[in-house]
Amino acid sequence: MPDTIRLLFSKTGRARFISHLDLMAVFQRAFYRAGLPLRYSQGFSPRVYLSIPLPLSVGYAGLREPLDVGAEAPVPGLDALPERLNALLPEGISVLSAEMNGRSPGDIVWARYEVRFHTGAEPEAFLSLFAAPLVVEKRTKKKGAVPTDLLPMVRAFSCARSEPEDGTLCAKLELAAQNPTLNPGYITAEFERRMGLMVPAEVTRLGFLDAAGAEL
Amino acid sequence: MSHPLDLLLSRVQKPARYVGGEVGAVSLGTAPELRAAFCFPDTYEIGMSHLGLQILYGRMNQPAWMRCERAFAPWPDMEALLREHRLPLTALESGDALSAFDLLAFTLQYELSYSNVLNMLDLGGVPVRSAERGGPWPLIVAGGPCALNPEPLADFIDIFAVGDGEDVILELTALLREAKREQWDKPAILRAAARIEGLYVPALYTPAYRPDGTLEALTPSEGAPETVRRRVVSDLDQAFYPTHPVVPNTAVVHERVMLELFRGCIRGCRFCQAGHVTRPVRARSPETLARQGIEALQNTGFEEIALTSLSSSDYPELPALCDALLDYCEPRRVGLSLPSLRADSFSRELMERVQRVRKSGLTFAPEAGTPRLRDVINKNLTEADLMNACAAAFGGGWTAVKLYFMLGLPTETGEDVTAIAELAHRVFLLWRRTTPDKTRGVRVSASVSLFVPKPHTPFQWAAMESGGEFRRRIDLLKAACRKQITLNWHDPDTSYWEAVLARGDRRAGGAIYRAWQSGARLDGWGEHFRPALWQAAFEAEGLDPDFYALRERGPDEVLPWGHIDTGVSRAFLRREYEKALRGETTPDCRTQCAGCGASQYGGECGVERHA
Repeated sequence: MPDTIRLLFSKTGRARFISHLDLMAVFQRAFYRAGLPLRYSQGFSPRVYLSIPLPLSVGYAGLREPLDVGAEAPVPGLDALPERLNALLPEGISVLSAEMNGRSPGDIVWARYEVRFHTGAEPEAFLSLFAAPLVVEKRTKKKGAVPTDLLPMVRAFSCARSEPEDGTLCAKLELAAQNPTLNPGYITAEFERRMGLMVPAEVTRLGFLDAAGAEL
Repeated sequence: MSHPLDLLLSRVQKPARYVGGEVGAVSLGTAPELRAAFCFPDTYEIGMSHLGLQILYGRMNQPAWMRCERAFAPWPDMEALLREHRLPLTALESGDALSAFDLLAFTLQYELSYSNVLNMLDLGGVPVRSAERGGPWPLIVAGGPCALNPEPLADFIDIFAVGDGEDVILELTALLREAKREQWDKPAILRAAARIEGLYVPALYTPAYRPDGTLEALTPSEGAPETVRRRVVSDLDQAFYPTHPVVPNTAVVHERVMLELFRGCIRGCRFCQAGHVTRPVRARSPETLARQGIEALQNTGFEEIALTSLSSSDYPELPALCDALLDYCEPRRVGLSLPSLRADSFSRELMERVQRVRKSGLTFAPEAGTPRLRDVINKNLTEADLMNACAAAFGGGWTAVKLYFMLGLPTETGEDVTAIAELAHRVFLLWRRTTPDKTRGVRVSASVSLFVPKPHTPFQWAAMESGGEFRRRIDLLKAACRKQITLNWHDPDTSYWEAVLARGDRRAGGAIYRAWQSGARLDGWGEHFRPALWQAAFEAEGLDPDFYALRERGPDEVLPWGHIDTGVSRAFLRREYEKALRGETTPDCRTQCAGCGASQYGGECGVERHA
């Protein structure tokens, strides 16, 4: 198993509009500038082994996002790395921690989200979504859009008016993170459809859980 | 949600181009005395690839009393949302509307971005016409190559900056700072600006026309000068270079450090505006360049550095500079690229050195298919030069060569057109003879642009070919091209309207306004360009666009850009035009001074300073 540096980072504010591919380039440039001894692919156009295993949708914030980057050898002094990188990263991207060879990204099963809806509606309007099977057209890689019940991919849900009241409704969701993945966009879109009007939603991914429901 | 724009961003393509927050962007501190926005009248992806933006942005953020932000033209999906929600176009750094600024500085890189200038002002909440803007703020300034014929935009722009911008822009902002403190009115500001060398204030000039529609005179008033002299930065080693450029958070056209070897050009290609309006040659020393390039790579993390100029092989210390940069780049896997190489000085050894990290395609620009026509345009390139360069490239393992040509050059015949296809084919045959490995195949492509006569060149008097004639010549060329050659060509409509605006006069402004009002946007983008809007706009103004594009000017005609003095004399340009029609060449500046007039600026004028 080659050595890998695991970073946890947050992506908030204006940076949440940076796409997954662009974010990889942003990190790569910061790694170059930090002078990290990274592992490169062989061949015509050498590339760093860089992976953000669970890409965020454009526009979503994330508070504890994992990133793996290949290193030539175990890198000493990782405690100082977050601060070093943060001086080189754009506004809104912040590295929280760095460690060698963290848990496999495959251990991630659930993702925790907070969704703020800009609406005066009561929590019950949102909670009623989960009262019966929630069947929507879900995109698949092979078969196109397929009617799918989303409830088996929802581990937990709650909703309340925001405190202090700021004109938003605050929902907390725990959704399947991979194999299959449930993007909260399906739930916000279904909420909009039932409300019959545009409900702007701010989505933040708070963190991840393993199969046992423990924080990663 | 900090900004009303945020709610729209999830609904547009590529939202990262509207939010800023990049490494290298200026941070918002205390309120400055003067707020400027550098406005690029095209998309973020184009503007952020432009070295001039990075230079002037950095330069305008040097004084502690001012701050410069950036604004770009929105894509139509974003424009529709802004208009629907009645939100203004904003600058990236603060998110404030353009109307909140003291100075909006546009760069005019291309004639077909003019409608974007008007659209950005309107979206930013700024009245489009100068005369409709009551108070002085924001003051609208424009520079860049198209400011060399400012007349078509005279109704919209308050002040044009002619030539190198990095010094004159700070002289202007110092003036504006004083004007703001002392609450000058706009006429007072304009009168004072007109006294700064290199600034042109169109409101102080009145055009008069002859019955045949040509210009009779452009008369200055209120002490404005008869001619406006181009500004030249003479010592580039001392000039500002952005070693901390803004690094985009989203993919742009060129993601690389751009290192400008020199300004000006010793060649005198007669179609080339840049080569005539940036004289004399002013070079940076290789020591300065290596230091600045390495610093910029360290500060950006880019994987590529490009050495730019109008003709990089004319930089005497090129091999030494490449070696110095490669010592840094190679171990760090940073690619070095060298666009703008001439075929007559192509060295395989140099290219192999340069391309050790990443090997790219090669591009040469013979421009014309026959030696006769190459003499007309003063390209001074022989077929033997081109073949030697290509043989060296193929022998060295290159498998892609791109050749640039122009159609519709003055005196072009059918024979010149078909000769393009034959020349490209001879390059293909050469590959078969010289390649070490035929199994890898080759890609020889010919890219054909359409000749647009530009102001301040020897061909400024020349007629352009009509769209119908261009289509006929493109068909002739297509028929002559063998299947092994990949042929690309420009759109005749696009080139025609570029030509109309390039040599337009002040009356064209009314048509630009109408075209924009009827929906002209992003005209440089094929998918958005609607030539019918422009045709209708000119007709509604009672103007014949052919008058501007297709007409040969007389030797004594008053030209709409005649009051802009680039330092290269009209007499020299006329001599060059007449020599062109006789097929006579003029040697480059290092071989023999042609007496163009640019020596008045000092500089090297072709003499090798570091030799």
